[in-house]
Amino acid sequence: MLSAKNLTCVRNQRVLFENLSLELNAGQLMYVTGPNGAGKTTLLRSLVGLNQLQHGEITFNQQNISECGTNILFIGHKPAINEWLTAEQNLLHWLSLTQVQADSTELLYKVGLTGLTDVPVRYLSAGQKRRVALVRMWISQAKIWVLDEPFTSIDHKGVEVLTALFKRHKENGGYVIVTSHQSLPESIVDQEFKLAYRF
Amino acid sequence: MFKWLHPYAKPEKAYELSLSFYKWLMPLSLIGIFVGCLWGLMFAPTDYQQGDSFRIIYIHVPSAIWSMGIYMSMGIAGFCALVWQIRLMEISVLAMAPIGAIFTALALITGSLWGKPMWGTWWVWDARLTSELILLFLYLGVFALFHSFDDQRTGAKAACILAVIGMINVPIIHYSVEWWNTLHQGASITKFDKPSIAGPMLWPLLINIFSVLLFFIALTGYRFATELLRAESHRKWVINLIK
Amino acid sequence: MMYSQFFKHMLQRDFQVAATQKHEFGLPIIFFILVLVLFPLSIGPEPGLLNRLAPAVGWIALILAMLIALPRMFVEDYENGWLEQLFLSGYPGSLIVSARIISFWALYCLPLVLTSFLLVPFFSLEIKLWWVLAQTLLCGSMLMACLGSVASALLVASRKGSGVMALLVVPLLIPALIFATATMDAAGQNLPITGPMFILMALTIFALTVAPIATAQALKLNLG
Repeated sequence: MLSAKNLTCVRNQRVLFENLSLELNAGQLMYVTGPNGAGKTTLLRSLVGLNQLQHGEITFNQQNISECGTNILFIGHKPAINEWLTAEQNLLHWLSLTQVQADSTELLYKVGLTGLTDVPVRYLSAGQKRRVALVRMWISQAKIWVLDEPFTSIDHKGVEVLTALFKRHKENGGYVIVTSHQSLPESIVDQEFKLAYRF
Repeated sequence: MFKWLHPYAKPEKAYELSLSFYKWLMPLSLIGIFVGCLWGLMFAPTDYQQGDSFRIIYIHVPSAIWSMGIYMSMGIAGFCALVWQIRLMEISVLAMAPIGAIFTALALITGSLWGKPMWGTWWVWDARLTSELILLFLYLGVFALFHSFDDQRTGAKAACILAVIGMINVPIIHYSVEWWNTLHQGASITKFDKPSIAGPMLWPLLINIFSVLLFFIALTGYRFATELLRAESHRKWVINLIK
Repeated sequence: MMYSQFFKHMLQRDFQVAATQKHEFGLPIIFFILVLVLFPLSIGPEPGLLNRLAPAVGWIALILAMLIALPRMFVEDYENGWLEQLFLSGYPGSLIVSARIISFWALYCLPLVLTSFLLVPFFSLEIKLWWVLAQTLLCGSMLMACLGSVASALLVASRKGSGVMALLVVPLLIPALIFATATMDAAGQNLPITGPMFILMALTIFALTVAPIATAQALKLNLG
């Protein structure tokens, strides 16, 4: 069980959220919504332990989140891709960082990047770059997926593929936390978490 | 053992405590500085070698001593802030930094004023003056770093990291500069040995050194209180206080 | 988790990225040479004077050239998000940072130290003295990479650039400069150089142990 208690975050003298608590059970997907500037990204970054919080603690199965490195897959606004390297090189670095064995060519074929594997990523389109980042979801062995706007610049078919992946991950007892400005199909959302903009 | 300290981790208590420091120590230190200066400038005997110009030590020495001391205490406070995640310590680092910088500048200015009649120039690369100058840059670095962050909290923590690094370095810099100075002494102008200062000259100096310390604590208390109010401006106790 | 394997992989990635943007590495070297050229042009080509100034010029040029390179230490990986993934991966931050310090030193500092050989023809420096200078530069540039990594990490998110960087790094570097020039003085007078040289090495080793911890803290601060 992933649980967060009494999270408070203050940025630039502005309270983004205060005494916020949430709980997520295995096999559930949480859909975080809210207007721009409400603190969705900050909340997600706090949940994976990147942000330093003013108050509050986050635990996964009674363990502090900062000790669960390999159990978290976080894909944020920044793709963690070096633009000068090729898609394949980027993927190989990811594989050796997470110590997963996988066939890189096959994976890139799966996300529709065949023939582009040896092109530096900076020549790819925004959607294709996004795909290079999202490949990580296919090979991830992490229990918790925290995804910040995964659908940005992804085409219609890609969105369907991603939602199918979410479903598979849920069935395997994983946890998914997603923000998106596109609405998710209701069938896969277990919890909706609304953040309001505070002044 | 430190149980009695715990209530002061609360901002309200810390605010009251720092203001009471200011209230009590400020008048005391001002009286002390007044007495020390009066004694030193009017009644202490004239130095047979340096004449009346030696009297600037009553300002120079206290500010030079405490400029180093303040950097050290900044480093210690920064270390505590980083290790034990104490918010109030971060604020105290910010409260101390400008005071320390002013003390350093004062030590430099009075040092070069002293140098003019003694050495014949405004500036010599004397070990103590040089390490004061470097110290001034260290202080300026803390400011520059703090102001290059949008978020004050992050800026304060960054300043703490730098203060700790600086604290480790201040003794290294100090002794290496001293060593450098003795190495190149052949070329430099005759340096005065540290004079063994006589009783009637020493007493006002000691009074001033002590009073300047109190003055620093009082000022820090005041600045700490104001910085605390600014940092906590969204909290209830501040809103109640201002009402 | 195999730390040594991870460390090796980090270095490999840095070198791979460096190979794709080779022109980046030329700039500090060209800057270094420009500074060397400015000295004879501004104080005149008198060999005796230049010879005396050579070690100091080498050091000043190195410091200036490093100040150009240092801001790039973490910026790219910070902006593309690789750094936050590294910190999420569960490996110790100081390990990540020390890999970067070493690759930075190999990619930027080592070429600069080699370029300092130009002091031999330009400033009529004796080769024997250059060799001592190169040793101090090797040590000193490592020290500067360590101190610079802290400054670079602190400033990674701000756009203030190298002005603040200079203010943070140069005062801390003064002891190294003092002991390096003392080493050169001793070498010039045919005295044993081991004293100041060992102090310089000690400072470098000390910085190598402390700086990665501070840098990792600073990076975490900027990620959050």
